[in-house]
Amino acid sequence: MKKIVVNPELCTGCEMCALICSFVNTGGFNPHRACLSINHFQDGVFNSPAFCQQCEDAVCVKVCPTSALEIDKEKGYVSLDTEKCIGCGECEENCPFDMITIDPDSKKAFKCQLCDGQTYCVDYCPEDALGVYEK
Amino acid sequence: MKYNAYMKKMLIINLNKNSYEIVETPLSLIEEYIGGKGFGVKLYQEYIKADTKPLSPENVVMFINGPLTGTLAPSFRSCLITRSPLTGTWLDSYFGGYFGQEIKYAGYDAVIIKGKATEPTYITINNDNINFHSAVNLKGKKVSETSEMIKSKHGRQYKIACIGPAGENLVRYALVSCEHMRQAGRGGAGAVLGSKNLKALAVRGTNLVNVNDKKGFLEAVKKAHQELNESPSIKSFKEDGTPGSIPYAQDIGMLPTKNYKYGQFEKSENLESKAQINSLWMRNLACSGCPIACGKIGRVFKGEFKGIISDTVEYETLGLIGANLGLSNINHIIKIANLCDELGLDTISTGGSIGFVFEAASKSNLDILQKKGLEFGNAETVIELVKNIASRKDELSNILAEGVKRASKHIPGSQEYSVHIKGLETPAWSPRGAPGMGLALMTADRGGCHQRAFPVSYEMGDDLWQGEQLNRLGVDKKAELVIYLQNKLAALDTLVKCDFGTYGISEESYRIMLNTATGFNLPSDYWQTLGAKIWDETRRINLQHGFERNDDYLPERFVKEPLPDGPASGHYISQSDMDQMLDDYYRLRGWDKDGRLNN
Repeated sequence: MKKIVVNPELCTGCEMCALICSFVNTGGFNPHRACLSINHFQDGVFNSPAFCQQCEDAVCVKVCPTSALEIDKEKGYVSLDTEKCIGCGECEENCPFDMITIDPDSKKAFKCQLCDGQTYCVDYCPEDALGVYEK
Repeated sequence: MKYNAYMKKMLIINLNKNSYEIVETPLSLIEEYIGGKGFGVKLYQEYIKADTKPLSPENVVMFINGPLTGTLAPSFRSCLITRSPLTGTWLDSYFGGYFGQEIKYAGYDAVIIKGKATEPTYITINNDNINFHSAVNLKGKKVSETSEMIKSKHGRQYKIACIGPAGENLVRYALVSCEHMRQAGRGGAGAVLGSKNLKALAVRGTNLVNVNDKKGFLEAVKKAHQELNESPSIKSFKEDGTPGSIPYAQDIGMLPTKNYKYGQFEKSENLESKAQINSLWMRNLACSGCPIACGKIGRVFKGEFKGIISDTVEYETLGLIGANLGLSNINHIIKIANLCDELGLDTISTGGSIGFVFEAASKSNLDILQKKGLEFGNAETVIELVKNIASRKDELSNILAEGVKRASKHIPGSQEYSVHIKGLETPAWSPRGAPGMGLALMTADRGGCHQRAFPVSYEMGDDLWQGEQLNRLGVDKKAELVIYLQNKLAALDTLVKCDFGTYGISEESYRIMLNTATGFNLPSDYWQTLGAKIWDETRRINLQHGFERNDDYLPERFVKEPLPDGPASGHYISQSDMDQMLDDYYRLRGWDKDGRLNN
């Protein structure tokens, strides 16, 4: 499986990863609508984005009642079929990393699928703080 | 869809009734004034009358975004517009960070606040769900405590703008803190919020900011990033932040020292980036969507102030709290800057006011100045004064909380060393040795400000003006240069740009980013036209409040006292220099010889 990893020492909190993510996945800009989230720590000294872990033993896949979520070993991520998704929110409730949400517009599950290999967030990070880890 | 990138709605809050309305953003504003400062000049004239008192319920505070705020376009901010209690005229104050973007995500191009709440209040805005809450338990809290208490109660996704005790106590240069050490710093907007009993605004939103031409927009953003990467000035901001300007200002003799008496500080090395790295820097910190990350943040890790968390002490603060007060221990300056941030005081006006009183104490026998320690270089006194000013604790601090212009009226003979323009304490670019900078300060629409035009690099010969090297100490062509820069920056303040971004991003890139985001088809000479229109409007506002040619002159110190040190030693900006530059300036702007508009 593949996942996006971060070197938090380099992260400046600029949100460009979240901005491009929301743009690619929703068509507009808003970091809250990205499928990654940036933790601006309380004192402002550290920031660190969090990403979907693309778990090999994914809880979201297990709890999905319609098999909309599947582990795609070939592509290396947990895939989402929005046609099958009924927006029940089981995945959102059970993800231990809070990395899957119900999109307020489509009312369907919303998660990182590595932009089908494009990983725009990694490309747009001005500090080169992000990378793709594969195991 | 036309004019994507706008939210097309404005939120108007009336604190008199704890009510609000959501109105459509007028198309005429969008088409003729773009956003930010442009919206501001029109809305100001709609809401604020000539006799609206700055600290009365009738004054209005407007948080305004630009069309590119909240997008991926690099380095955009937001602005706050009100009538200043310090100057009594137009105030536009700009802030980076995350707060302005969040207003846009909540669905608004602007939030306009009218009236006065009957008790201390804060407002939560969650998309179109707007609620008023009692701020009684936030009274007197520092800005970080205020922010933390609101986030703990309502959720960490909220972005907060708030005032500190200084704003509550109506200090005339109280600031508005906008999330994580970014401030609408100048001119006393914090006191205006204080006068409205409004402690804080907390905003979150899930709306999307769209753009018209997605592919074209991303290409324009890519080009702007490339320009930033190739700029040597941006490299310096990235590496050192604004403290990188200390050695430059020292070399050219423009570092305000001991209430602007001198242009060089013998211990300026102690204020440089290196000194801060030794005590503080751990991290680069960016505003939303900005690849520059000029902010540097950390904890003080040794000495008596160990544990303080602070952003870089910025150049302006180093100048006004450091050199201008004769302070050279960087840990003291970090402590004082942090106190100002937390209590909600503008460091420029604070440094200007305390520098003024230090000089006054050495020259006047007035009883209130007979206090021990009122002397340059005394950090302990500065710390005490800052705390006292924020709470208006005693007679002296109460006078200083009014700013230099009003304070000087209490101290006979102090006119010659009271340094302000239109009531706004001047910034850390002492203009003797650079008459063009003098003109920029004289004509800045909000009073003594360096951000409306910064011609210094042209006067020093680092940049050519229309292919020509300007005479540093001369006045020829300074007016046309200042007007060009003022127009450019005012036009880009409609977007709302970050000043530092302009050191790398070309006018053409700004234009293409705007056109692709909004669907406008603005021509390449648009910025100068738009900028000139905005300067006419801010002039109209200044005239309406009674500001005329007489208010467009430099303080006596820069006019009558030759600069005692540095490469421009002996220089001052004479009355005739000022008159020639003003005559040129008004003529080129199409105003009459008294600086009045012809229509």
